[in-house]
Amino acid sequence: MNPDLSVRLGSLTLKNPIMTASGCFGYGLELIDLLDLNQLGGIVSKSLTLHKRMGTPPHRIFETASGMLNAIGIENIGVEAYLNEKLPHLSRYDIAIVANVMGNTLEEYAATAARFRGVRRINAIEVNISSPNTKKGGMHFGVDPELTYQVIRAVKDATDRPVIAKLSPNVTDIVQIAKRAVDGGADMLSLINTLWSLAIDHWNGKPILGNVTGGLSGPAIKPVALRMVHQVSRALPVPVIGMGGIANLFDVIEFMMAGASAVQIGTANFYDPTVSVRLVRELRDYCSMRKIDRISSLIGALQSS
Amino acid sequence: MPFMFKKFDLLAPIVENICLGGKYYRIRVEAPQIAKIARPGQFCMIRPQYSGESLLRRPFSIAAVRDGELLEFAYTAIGVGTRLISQSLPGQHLLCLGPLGNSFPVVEGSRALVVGGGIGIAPFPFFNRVLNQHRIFPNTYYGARSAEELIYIEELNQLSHILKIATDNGSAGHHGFVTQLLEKDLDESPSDSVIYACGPGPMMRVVKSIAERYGVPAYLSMEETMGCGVGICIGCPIPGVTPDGQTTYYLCCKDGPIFPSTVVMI
Ligand SMILES: Cc1cc2nc3c(=O)[nH]c(=O)nc-3n(C[C@H](O)[C@H](O)[C@H](O)COP(=O)(O)OP(=O)(O)OC[C@H]3O[C@@H](n4cnc5c(N)ncnc54)[C@H](O)[C@@H]3O)c2cc1C
Ligand SMILES: Cc1cc2nc3c(=O)[nH]c(=O)nc-3n(C[C@H](O)[C@H](O)[C@H](O)COP(=O)(O)O)c2cc1C
Ligand code: FES
Repeated sequence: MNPDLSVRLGSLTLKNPIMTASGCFGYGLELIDLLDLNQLGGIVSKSLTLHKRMGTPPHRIFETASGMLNAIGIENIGVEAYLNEKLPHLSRYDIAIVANVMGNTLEEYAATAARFRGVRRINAIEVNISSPNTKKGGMHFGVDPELTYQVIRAVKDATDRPVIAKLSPNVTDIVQIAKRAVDGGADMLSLINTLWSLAIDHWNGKPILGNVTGGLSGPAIKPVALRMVHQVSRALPVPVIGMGGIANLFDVIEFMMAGASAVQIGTANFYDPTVSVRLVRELRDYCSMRKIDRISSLIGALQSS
Repeated sequence: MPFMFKKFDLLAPIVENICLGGKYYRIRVEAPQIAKIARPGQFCMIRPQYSGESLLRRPFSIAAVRDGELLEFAYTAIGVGTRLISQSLPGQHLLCLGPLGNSFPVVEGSRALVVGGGIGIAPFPFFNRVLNQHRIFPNTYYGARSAEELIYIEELNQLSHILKIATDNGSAGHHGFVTQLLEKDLDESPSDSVIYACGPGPMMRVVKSIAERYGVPAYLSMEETMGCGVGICIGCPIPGVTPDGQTTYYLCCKDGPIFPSTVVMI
């Protein structure tokens, strides 16, 4: 049996539902001597800004129970360098490439997205309105329904690619934010970004992260992510991409059952760098074993009780 | 990809894990693919195969390659990750990703001055051996808190022109800082020297200023908390300056861990 692993997200088709998450796979090229990129459904770039960005001072990483905190501060090479130095190499692989964009203002978001106009190898634009690690932009947009609407509208008008709004879990009503993103023109939603958090060094009474606060990710956040994917995918007709703590095959199945059409692997790449390609293989074996011909039949298959 | 960038992610059987005294341990694992291509100064990201709630691997310098296929690490058990490693038993496995990062450059025809502080001595059994293969017999300066915390003494002695020890409490060697020994020798003859250092932040700052004062090149093995070890999390910034004088962050795992002292701001 050769199960069909492909999934359709509106106009975007992935050969399988496994993608790597923004900020958790570098620019996609760092691990090419360790794994075969061609096996993946897609990769999402590190958040790109109009100009190169330096990021926050050390420390940027802290491990916590079943997860980690990060405060990278969107350090990135900028959209121009991505187009010139990274994309040509990535283009050799037969996978979906998603550019994740961020800005401090509506105009910067739009201008960054506009740089991908007509760039055929970019299959979609993911809009980061959910990063907790910057003074401006990011989560400041994603926790306010009206700003969410405006920034997605601005990006939608600036681009000719499908738009994915990446949502923040740091809100009381995720469905309300998701609705406004769709009103603004989001073709898809991806959730969740990290949970805003703090780590303290009790020896010296100081915060551990250079930026004081950071974002919590990893298996610790999976139940929150599952709940939000479930709520949002039931409430809205657009495809949902799920992420948050996915580390093994059953996590993938659960996210799809909760309503995700595809998933992104984040933190797990750091401690298990070949996890994403292995998940594709395991997903295929799982479908064969359970006699599932099309993986897409799992999407939203969660029974009510 | 060029051969030099090849890395392997192995489930490496532990063949030995012993306490060297106090919080100091030595672990040996079978990892022939990594052992064959590793160069001194490089590191691996390691973690026990099963480690409960501790997810991330930890970076460790390759302390030695034994019999061409065993990797040896020397470590101090300080927090959750290193404690779990210290409790691992032969027959169990370590997840071991490597070899990672750049290596100490061998500068032919120079006098090598190797400076290690505390567990910062870890990369030098390996490096000194490679220096010896190039017929360079380094002066090794090794500082620790006390005599009990000195490790690899015999091996370093064999691999060095001279091994000089300093302890904070005077229980062995010079009573004081290891950098005082380095400075004294440079005072006598600075010419053609190259410094290689690995140790705690304050020691590295002094080494950098000594190198600048005597006008000798120094290569510093830097440390920063790492998420991935391979450049995919952007999590290990080392503040530095670019060749054209701009401030920047280098990545400890990808651009380092070894940096010329002139490019880092410490
Ligand atoms: C390139 C490189 C090579 C290294 N080689 C060695 C080696 O050969 N042997 C060895 O013993 N150690 C080495 N280290 C340091 C080692 O990685 C840390 O000590 C280890 O990650 C601590 O993990 P933990 O889980 O025990 O501590 P945690 O529970 O994470 O933290 C416990 C305490 O250790 C401190 N700490 C955490 N990470 C580091 C760090 N990277 N450096 C210093 N202190 C830290 C924390 O601030 C905290 O106070 C190296 C580090 C780097 C970057
Ligand atoms: C170190 C790190 C860096 C991240 N950088 C970005 C980023 O640049 N843009 C973004 O949209 N999300 C970023 N994220 C969030 C992840 O893409 C993902 O949404 C989140 O980590 C949850 O998934 P996980 O638990 O599988 O990691 C980052 C996460 C981590 C841990
Ligand atoms: S540890 Fe991840 S980039 Fe250096």
